[in-house]
Amino acid sequence: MITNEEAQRNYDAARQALNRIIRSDSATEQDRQRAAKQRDELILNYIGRQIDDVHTRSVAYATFIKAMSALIVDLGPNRSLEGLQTLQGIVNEAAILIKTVQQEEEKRKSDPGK
Amino acid sequence: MIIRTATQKVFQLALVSVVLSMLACTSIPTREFTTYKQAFADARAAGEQVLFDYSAAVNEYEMEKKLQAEKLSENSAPPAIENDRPANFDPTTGSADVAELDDVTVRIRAWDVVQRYNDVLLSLAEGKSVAQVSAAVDGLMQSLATFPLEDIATAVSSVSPYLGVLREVLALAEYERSRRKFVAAVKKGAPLIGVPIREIAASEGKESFQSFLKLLRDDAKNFYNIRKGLNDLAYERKVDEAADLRRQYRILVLEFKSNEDLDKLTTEVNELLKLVSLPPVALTKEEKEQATQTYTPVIYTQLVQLKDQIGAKVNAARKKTNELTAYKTMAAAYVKLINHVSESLQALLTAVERNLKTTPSIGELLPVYIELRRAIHIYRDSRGG
Repeated sequence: MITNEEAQRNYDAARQALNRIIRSDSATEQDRQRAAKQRDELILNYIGRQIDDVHTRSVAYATFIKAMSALIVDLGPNRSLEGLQTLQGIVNEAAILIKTVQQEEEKRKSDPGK
Repeated sequence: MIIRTATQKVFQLALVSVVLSMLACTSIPTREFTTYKQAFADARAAGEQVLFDYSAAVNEYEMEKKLQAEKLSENSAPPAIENDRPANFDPTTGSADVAELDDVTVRIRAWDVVQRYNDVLLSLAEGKSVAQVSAAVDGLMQSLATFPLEDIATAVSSVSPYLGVLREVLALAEYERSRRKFVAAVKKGAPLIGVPIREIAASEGKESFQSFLKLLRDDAKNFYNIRKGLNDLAYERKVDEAADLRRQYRILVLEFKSNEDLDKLTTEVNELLKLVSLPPVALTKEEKEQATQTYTPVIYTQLVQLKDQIGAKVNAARKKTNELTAYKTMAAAYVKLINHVSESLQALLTAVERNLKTTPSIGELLPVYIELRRAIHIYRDSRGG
């Protein structure tokens, strides 16, 4: 498998070789046109490979997002605050319950017939 | 009553001294954190610009490919009817996952997730939860004070003079929890985002995970190559056109005997050609000897026009080179910003680790705890008394 640097060198070398034909005084018009077409294809393929690399890397980005999101979730809840708020919730609910019982009791006392 | 007020004062004084003692030895590296946040904000702004440019470059590439395909179809047999059946599946490449990802969106989300992480860090650094905990204590005490059972409400009212103390104790605990969480968050997050140590390990093949900053650097290389490819395409076509004009010039000038005016003009043409690495219009001795005609003002005008056209193509090609150079400078500055994020994150991590080592040990905190216990005893005595 060739490295990125080798691929870059090959691309530059192939492009220059084709350019020499395209710009040669001795080449025929047909040769020049064929070489120009091949060079444009070479460049477009080169760009296509770069876009493929970017696309492949998107998976690594998704992995990173997943790991980072998990960390944020892990850092998220403030347990002491949640504890205090839960405790206050319990106290408030208990207060409502007791008040309801007390009101029922008072009603019962004021109207013993019921 | 006088005794109780004095007791409260002693207790509060003790607690304040405890708070001050603990605050003095538990600090968040604010300077390093501020530098990191700023470095990240700069890199993100640049990163988004780079991403938008990438998106535009991909569109240019698609248009170019379409043009090429149209050219091909003009000169050859009609293409086979496209088939929408899926191609071969290779489970090792994970192509199924990749296909669903939009390259730009996933990168914008990656920036966002780091921003969210930074916001969590900021919230911990600012100790926002300390105020929330204090407010929650007040809320709880308020609920208890209005509790419909007399015993509880009375008990709460007897404790209420110490509410400030209780709030401070809980705030202190929350501050400490927040600080520890900040430290843990930096230690866990820094390797994911990418500190230099992680990069070295990755380059040695010890680490398969690719940090965010490494991904950004790798992207920057591809983004540059894509822009270079598109630029190459435009540049080479301009140089091709200049080369065509050069050939026309050469064919025309070959027919006329050499003289001072023609030689001067050809020298000027050669100077232009040099700028785009095209070979000079060099006539051999034999070619010069074969020329039989003497040039006329009309021919000279034609040659000057060709020279001007060559000049225009050369300028257009050089404009493309300048564009690429500007992009390269921008890409280099962007990578520098990424490196700055990495360095500032490393500095934050180092400061956090150093801070951890300087966190007081249990032995060092013993006098503080003794003072706190004494304050609690005073508080209990005051209640019992």
